[in-house]
Amino acid sequence: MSSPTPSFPGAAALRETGRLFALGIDVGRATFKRPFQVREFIQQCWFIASVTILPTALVSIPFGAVIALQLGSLTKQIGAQSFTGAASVLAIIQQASPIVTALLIAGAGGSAICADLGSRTIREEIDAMRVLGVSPVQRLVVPRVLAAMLVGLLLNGMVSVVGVLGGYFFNVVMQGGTPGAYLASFSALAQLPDLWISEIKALLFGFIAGIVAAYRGLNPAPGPKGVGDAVNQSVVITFLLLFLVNFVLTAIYLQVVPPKVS
Amino acid sequence: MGVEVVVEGLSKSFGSQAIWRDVSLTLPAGEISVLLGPSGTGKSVFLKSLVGLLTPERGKILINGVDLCRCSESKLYEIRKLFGVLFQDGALFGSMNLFDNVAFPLREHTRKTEAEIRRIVLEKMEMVELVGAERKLPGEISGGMRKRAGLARALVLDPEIILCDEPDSGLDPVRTANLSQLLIDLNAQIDATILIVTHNITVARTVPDNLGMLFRRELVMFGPREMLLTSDNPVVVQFINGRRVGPIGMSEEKDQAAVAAELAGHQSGPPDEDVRGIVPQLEPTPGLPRRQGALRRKDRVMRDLHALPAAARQGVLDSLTDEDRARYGMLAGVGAPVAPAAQPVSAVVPEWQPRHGHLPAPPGAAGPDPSDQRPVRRRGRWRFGRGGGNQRGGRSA
Ligand SMILES: Nc1ncnc2c1ncn2[C@@H]1O[C@H](COP(=O)(O)OP(=O)(O)OP(=O)(O)O)[C@@H](O)[C@H]1O
Ligand SMILES: [Mg+2]
Repeated sequence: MSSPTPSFPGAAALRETGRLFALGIDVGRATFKRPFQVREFIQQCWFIASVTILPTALVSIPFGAVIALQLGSLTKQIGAQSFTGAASVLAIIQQASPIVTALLIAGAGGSAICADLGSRTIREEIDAMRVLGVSPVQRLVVPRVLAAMLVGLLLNGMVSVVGVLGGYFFNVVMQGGTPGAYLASFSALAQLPDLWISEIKALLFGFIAGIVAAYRGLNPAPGPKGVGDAVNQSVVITFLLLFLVNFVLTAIYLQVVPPKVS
Repeated sequence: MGVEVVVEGLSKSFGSQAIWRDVSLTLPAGEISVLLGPSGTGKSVFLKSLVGLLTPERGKILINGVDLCRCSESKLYEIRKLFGVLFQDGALFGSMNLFDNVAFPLREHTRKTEAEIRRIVLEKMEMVELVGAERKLPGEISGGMRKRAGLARALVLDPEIILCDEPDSGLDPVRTANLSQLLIDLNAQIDATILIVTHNITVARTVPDNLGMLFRRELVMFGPREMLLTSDNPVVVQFINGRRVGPIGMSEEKDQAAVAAELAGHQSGPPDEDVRGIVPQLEPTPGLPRRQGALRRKDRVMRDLHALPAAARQGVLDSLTDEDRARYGMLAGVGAPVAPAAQPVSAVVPEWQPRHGHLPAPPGAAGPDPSDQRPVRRRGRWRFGRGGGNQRGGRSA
């Protein structure tokens, strides 16, 4: 199976990428294999939610506020105050909330998944599971990845709501905007596909965060230090991938879906 | 009956570090084999290769005609169900208590009710003397207890091939003796093929049918126990006697100069005694059937007797009982077999089966007379009750 390994610059990186993709495909296939690990799934959802909800809420309020403040002063200068609400909603829902969600899913959820799987790997629990005829991908990785996706979806909704409320509060209360204009402009610029792309992004980010965390967790360098390094790497790799994917998705979306006001 | 494991020309390396090269051996069906070797020679790596956790670069591992190194993932999972593996550190699931750990394979692979699972698990826990610790987490028990729990988990599905990585390390001498007896009894009852990796010389001398030794990236020797126990190979002699002087050094690769200096000069340390030589093998606890593996092995060894070194040959002949001598057509006291057992083994075996058939007597039912009570009860705790005997049927479900 392991044929003589070619060594040219970047070969290792290519190999790792290939394996990461292979794990992604394995997870996709194992998702539909019976029996589905319901209990593990629920436990993981609960766990990931519990480590991410509070930080997400705390991050999204100032995030919404910053966007509202920035846009508020900008729109005032160009005399388009009536669009403040719509612009901040667009910015929050399309960009800010999937990114905030991704950062927290990767930073809080993914690192926990990676550390958990990594310590199981070096304690040979994963090997033991394979030997007992149970696939760790189906048993452990699938529930975690699905949980990361689901929680990502929910968190994204939460960030949107909290962020918009924060924006409203800052715009109306702090900057003296009119509530009516803020709300009215909602429907002027924002449209339903904005929400869809936001949720699709969150789903995809949850998937990537879960897969990368699981991959690094299942293949750590030997020893406890290996697990620490793996967690570190998994967070960094996830961030890189997420921002890249976010860019690509945004570009595609802006091409495909026509803006409401042109 | 157990399954034969054939290893042909296996080589494994990690990056540029070769672990072992060109290892060929056969674990005969239903026999117990022991693999010895200094620390770090890749015994654990060998066991992991046997279950397909590591993929050797070259060679074959044949089980039921399937090459483990080259079969599909799903086939591999299928074949792994034949195995019970005890890892060096027990490899228990840290998030489950001992009961759930031992019950895990049953819950995954059978459709047993909780009551049945409970009965089987408690039986195995009793077998390894862990009753009362079921609710503890692996982090809360001693290393020896983890090891025994790992063994209970490995045995819970009545595997056909049992691999044990240092089952005796971390165990006290009494438990090690119990463990040796347990493995022998287990083999007598389910006729599983067993491979034990160990550093314990007593286990190596009394338990196995076959002995092997890994050293310096090679399989130095593998064959009937008599062969290694009487060997003149300096590595084997040093290892079995636990001597400091010899080819095995701290760094595993002693250089020639150091070896020469040792041989020429100082002999420090406690006086050395030679513990080589063949000691009788452990027998199953009275009341259990005879080990079919041992009988098959005897036939095999007698057939290939001429291929063994003289000392080993003498050892084999000395260990024969009068019954054996009659069977192999030898006159008592005369050296070579007159009519070697050239007849097919299957034709011979029936006469060797115990009169009461295959089924093991239920524990306690075959109890000896009361005067014998105490020691037997001790061993009885380790006895392998075949209570969940119909598990294999449920496994495919
Ligand atoms: N995953 C791995 N990656 C790289 N090298 C490894 C790996 N696993 C084992 N090795 C190397 O293989 C060699 C053999 O290790 P192994 O654990 O099999 O020794 P062992 O014979 O079981 O020793 P001991 O008796 O102490 O348990 C060691 O030199 C170790 O460094
Ligand atoms: Mg080892």
